[in-house]
Amino acid sequence: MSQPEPKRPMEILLVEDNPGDVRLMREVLKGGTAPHHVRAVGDGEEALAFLHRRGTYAEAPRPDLILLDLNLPKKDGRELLAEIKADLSLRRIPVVILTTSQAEEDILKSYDLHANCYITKPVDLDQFITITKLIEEFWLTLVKLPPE
Amino acid sequence: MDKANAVTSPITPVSLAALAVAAVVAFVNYRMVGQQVLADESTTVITLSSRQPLLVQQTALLAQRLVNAQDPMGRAELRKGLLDAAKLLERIHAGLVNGEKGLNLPGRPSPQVRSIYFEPTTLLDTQMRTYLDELMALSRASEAELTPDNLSLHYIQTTVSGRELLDALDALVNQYYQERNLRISGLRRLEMGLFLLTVFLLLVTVWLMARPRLRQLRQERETGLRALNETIEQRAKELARSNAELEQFAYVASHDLQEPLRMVASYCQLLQKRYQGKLDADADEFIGYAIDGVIRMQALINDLLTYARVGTRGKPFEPIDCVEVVDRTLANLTTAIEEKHAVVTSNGLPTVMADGTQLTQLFQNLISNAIKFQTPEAPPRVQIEATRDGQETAWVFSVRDNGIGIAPEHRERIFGIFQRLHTSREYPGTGIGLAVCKKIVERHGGRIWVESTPGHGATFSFTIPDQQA
Repeated sequence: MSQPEPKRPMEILLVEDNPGDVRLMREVLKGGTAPHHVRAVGDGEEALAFLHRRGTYAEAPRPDLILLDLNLPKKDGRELLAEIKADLSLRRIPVVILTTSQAEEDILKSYDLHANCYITKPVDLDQFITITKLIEEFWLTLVKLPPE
Repeated sequence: MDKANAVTSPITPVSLAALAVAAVVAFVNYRMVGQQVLADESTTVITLSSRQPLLVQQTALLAQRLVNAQDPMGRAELRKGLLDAAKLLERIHAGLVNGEKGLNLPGRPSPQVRSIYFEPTTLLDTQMRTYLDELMALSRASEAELTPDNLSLHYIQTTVSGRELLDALDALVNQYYQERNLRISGLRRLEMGLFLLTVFLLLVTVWLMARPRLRQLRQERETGLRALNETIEQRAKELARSNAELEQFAYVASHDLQEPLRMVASYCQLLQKRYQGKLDADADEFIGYAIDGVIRMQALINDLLTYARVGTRGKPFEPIDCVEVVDRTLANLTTAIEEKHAVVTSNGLPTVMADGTQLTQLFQNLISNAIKFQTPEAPPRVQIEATRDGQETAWVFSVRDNGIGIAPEHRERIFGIFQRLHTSREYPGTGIGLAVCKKIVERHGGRIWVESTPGHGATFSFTIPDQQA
């Protein structure tokens, strides 16, 4: 139902503990074409509070896409992913794993937990821009997301 | 320590007791057996019993001469001689049957001897007594009775010529002789037995005395061995642990270093992207250097990660076809090979037990080095070969090139981590490639070395031992 309402900006939840990465993501997405809204949370528990609209997040919108780092304080990305995918009301929100880890076990574990895709953060800025653009194009404009 | 000292003392109550018993047995052997063998009564028995037949014959002769003698003087002498001989014979006979201290005769005849004396077949005792009676009678006969047809003389002569008495006496001697032999051999056996017992007891004593010391020595040796084993085991464990820790450290450190480095790199690049030409020339140059440094550091960290992964992320060994490995490597290196017009050939490559990914990495590093360190004169030619080693326990692989070669003094150094012989401008790289090669080869139980004449290429060889399961 997102395509018939092109005016509504896409809601992106960025679960990332490094403010530098958050800012970088915001900066790179700024140059993008699709209208969007980036909300960032610093750890897994905060992300769950956001998704369940608890506490200060009572007014939080339901995200259209979750960008998830695996290594987070308190509740890490793997646990958060497992909980999102086990929750009937949240499981349809696409989750893109965005992490520095290239470890095979992280990749397998993420897909076993039904991550929608797994992307290794590139070290080079240009590559990072390219990948962010691709994520934006693919998940925010190309794919047909499930109706809410 | 007290216990150990007590154990070392060879003299214990048990060993002393064994020694005492050995001494007693030896003494008993000497007194009871040895003395008996030397001073055996049966010798007297045999000597005296053997004299009986002689005395019988002697008395018969005397009897004959007594009767034949004419003059009274001679007769009186012969009478006395006959009587003495008869008395001696009687004394021996009685001594043999009943025993007599004076003649050193024990008496106590055996059942066999008794049967010779008293059984009806021989009746030696009766015969002897009758014979003795006749001798006595003759020796006491009146002058008138001493005629050739004297009855006593007749009996005496008949007895001697009939040999019944003499045969019985011979049988008696024979019996005594046999009994003596039996007795002596019995004693000899006993002596031997006691001697062996003494030797045995002495050996037991020696063993008892030596045992604590032997046990202590054995214990010391076992304790020493065990301690040594434990030490070795512990050292091996410590070494393995410290190795694993070091690898883990290198992995974690390089992995975690990447994160902040990515930040520095990204923001430097962002700075460059947004503000290049908007600040001043110095700022552009500074940012450029910052980015250069960051990029180099990223390369180093990546290499360090690669190096650490050889130990921490290795896969189990399985049969790997080296032909496939080299093909895959050449496919990975297509760009470099085409750029430099390199010719890579291989032959005789076997299947070995190895980690396929690492083997590919190994060949890739060696072949790319061979192509990289070329001379300007000729395009790179790389030859890959495999032969069996001298002991038939491993494959020896060699990668030969026609490049710049390596001076002898650097042949060890080049396998160290981050060791470089050239500037990045001449030949790019961080200096990790051969260190990774060495680590991969060593993980497979082999070794790696280089032979080279500077200016005439280099040959890198490594071994992959068999039966690496």
